[in-house]
Amino acid sequence: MLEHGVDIVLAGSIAVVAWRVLLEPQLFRSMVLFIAMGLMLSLAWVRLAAPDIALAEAAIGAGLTGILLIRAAQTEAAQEAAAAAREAATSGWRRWFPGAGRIVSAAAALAFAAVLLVAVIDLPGEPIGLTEAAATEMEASGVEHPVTSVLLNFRAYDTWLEVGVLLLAAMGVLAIHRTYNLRSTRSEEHTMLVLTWLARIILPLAVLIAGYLYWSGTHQPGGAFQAGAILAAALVLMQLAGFRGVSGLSTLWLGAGLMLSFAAFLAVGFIGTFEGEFLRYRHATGELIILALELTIVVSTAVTLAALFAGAGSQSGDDSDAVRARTPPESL
Amino acid sequence: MSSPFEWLIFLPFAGGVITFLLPGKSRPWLALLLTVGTFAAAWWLASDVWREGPQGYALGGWEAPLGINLYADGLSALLLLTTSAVMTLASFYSLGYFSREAEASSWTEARAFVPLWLFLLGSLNALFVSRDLFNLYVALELLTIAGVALVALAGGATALRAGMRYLLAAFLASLLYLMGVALLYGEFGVLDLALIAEAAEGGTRAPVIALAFVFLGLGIKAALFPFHAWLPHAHASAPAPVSAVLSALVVKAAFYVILRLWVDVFADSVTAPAAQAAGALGAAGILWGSFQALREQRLKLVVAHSTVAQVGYLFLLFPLLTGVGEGAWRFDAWAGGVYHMMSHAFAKGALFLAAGTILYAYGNDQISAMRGLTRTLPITTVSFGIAGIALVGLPPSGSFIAKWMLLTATIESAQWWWAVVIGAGTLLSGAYVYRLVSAAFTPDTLPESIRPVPRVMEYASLILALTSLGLGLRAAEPFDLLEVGAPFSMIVAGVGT
Amino acid sequence: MTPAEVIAAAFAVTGGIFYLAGTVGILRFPDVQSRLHAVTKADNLGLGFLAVGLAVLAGTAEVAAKLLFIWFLALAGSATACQLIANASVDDDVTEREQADA
Repeated sequence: MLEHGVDIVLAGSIAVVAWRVLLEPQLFRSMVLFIAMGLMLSLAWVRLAAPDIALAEAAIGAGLTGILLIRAAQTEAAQEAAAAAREAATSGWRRWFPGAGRIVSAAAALAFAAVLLVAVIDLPGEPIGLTEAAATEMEASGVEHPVTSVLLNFRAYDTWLEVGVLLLAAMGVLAIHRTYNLRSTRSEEHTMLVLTWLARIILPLAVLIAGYLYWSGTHQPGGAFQAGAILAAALVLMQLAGFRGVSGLSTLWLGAGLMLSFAAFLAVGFIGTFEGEFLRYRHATGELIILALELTIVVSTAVTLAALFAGAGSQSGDDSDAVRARTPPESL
Repeated sequence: MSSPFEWLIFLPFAGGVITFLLPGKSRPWLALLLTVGTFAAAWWLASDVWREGPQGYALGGWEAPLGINLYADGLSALLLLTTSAVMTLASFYSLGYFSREAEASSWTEARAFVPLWLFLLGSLNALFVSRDLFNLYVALELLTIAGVALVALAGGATALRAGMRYLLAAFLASLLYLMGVALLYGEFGVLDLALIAEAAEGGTRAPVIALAFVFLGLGIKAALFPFHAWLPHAHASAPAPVSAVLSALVVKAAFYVILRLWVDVFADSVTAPAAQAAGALGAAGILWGSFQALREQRLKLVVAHSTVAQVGYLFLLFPLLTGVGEGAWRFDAWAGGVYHMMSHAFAKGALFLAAGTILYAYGNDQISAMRGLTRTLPITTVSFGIAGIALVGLPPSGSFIAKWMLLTATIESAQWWWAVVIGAGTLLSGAYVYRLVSAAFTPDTLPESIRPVPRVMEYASLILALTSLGLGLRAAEPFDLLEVGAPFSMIVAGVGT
Repeated sequence: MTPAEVIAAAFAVTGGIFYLAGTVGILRFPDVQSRLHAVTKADNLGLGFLAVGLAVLAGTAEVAAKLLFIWFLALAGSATACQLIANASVDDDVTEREQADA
């Protein structure tokens, strides 16, 4: 009974906060509410007994996404765009229908939710899927946790390509800045001593926790992506506290950090073809290979997410010439 | 590495890693080498398919349903060949487009361009050989992000805004597709397409809502009217080789997934009204895209709107498949659509490359500024004309055969109204192509300064244009290949052809 | 209820009261600084009581130590956040005053 009560309050709060995120006219407040919503969602995942998703949601969904949004909104370009949007919302035909866009989106979202509800109710009552098959074959995969064995062995190909998605996002940010490292990005002009102090405490702890999550992924919920996200959060904190973080890395080191995991999967895949198929590592060395691949995921995820943050803070687009001028074309 | 599947995935992605990490001026050449290598791998796979029938591959040695399996039949093989052929020629083009003689900035662009370009090639390959619902999602994501980054490479506010719009539309589409995939997994408990097809056979388990999500998401990515608004500016403001590949291949990739799911997996679940609706949206796209192409003042925008129209033809094949009775026309409709995909890929690639050459030389792409093109850029004018022929669907182009087959199918399946749409679309495309060509042939005083154009750019578009023509002259082999593992047969027993 | 549970419940309820007070403070106090005052002090104490209460129930010293460590981390985090917010609010006040003067 009490548990139901907690769930109902939680679900209700998520809906209310989501509603507030959408209706809040001030961009900054809306983003803060969005972060709060992320934390509540993460609690919801805990209640659904999915601690690994809860971790990812807290670290990426709430933390990093939130700070990315805030950081991007601080740029002049974003503020100009916001002003233009406000202007557009109060001129022309929209003047006569204030909030028409929101009403339409709200109606669309509600309709979508209703349809989704029908679809979910329609699903077969008995949970079907590959859970059993994964459990049967787990022994051959080299790890003792079904999620990890699916991610890093049975469907390692998907994981590899997902790592590629992350990598491409970072490459896209670099391409927009027309540069190969983040040295030209904005660093904090004035930071407070207390933040530096906190960063000094948090960084070693973050490394410890990331290491724990990485290691525990082989036999219980946890895993490399979550560990990477936590490390990334620490890197972001460092940057906010005035340290250079990833924006201090040279082109080669930044590139290596971003590429490490994708390249490692590629190499493992290649070696696998001598035994049989691409990405084959079924026996004996399976566990070692999985641990090594996960370690590369930790590093690359951390560097990539931190690079996205560093990249989001600098101006781009119209004044890209300025960035270009700072980056000699032949330097590497 | 004894299977062509391995090379198709390994080569471009390895190239992406190497060209991103290693310094050096040879990057564009390496990219070219790897696209040629990928073409060879596609050829290898196609010849295997041709000789032995559809090919499969179990990644990591894990068979479906647990693992991810790759698969290639004639359709996949043809599209892989098209992909690597178009990208090879566009890579040649980019050697000139980002040449060192050009200003320093474009050389910098080339260095960001090459790795993204190879990632795009890799993700296209991954998509065309995938046989797994979730893996298709991942491939689509890779494709989208690589595409957006390549659009943003053009720099400037317009390209960034267009890229952002593309990103938002594509993400919305991805989420819809992913939602559908989650529901389908809940329904069938497997992700392998062949296994889902088995379970869905007979249509007793037709998860309508999940399919609606999947097809809606893919429709947005394929720029089906009315979800096309993101396309024209994204395709028009990208660097020329990127525009070519986005229009020629990336949009088609999303359509390919629709085609696979609709025809091979959920054939018994999709209904005739849904097929008619898809056809109606396609028809609206043909008319609307052509109409917009007629009105635009900028060359690249005309070509981009024409993509909206040409994608519309592809959706006509769905209603044509639903006709009553037996007959070879089902194959005509299906293969006609696929052939149109291919032919349009080459023609649109050629057009965008030619448009990029004009932009490169003249500094702008206003149609009114194109006068005197026959004298300044004769080869580009010729490729423009040939690609125009293929776009309209005049003989002897591949599009002519494709449209002929679609028309045959409309008559034989007794759905004459689609023939009217095809006719109207052809006339409209004739009009906008005529508008461009006549501008090119208008003699006029030449502009005072024209930036010299590297020869390789002009010839790359010419070869692409000639290929789209060649597809009409030599169609027997492609169709034989296409029939391998096809859901329909060229010759139907008992009907005779 | 075992004695341990009684003690734990007492600590938890005390913690809850502090939380409640802090929340009332956020809602009722007039400006940023005084709200901060309420929320950081009261919530830190609230969390401390809660952690002690749970530590009593923890069973092993290891878990109890972890709980107390969590409390310490939260203290560090909220102290820093409090400083930053207070600083930002002072900056804002200065700009507002400057704008008012101009």
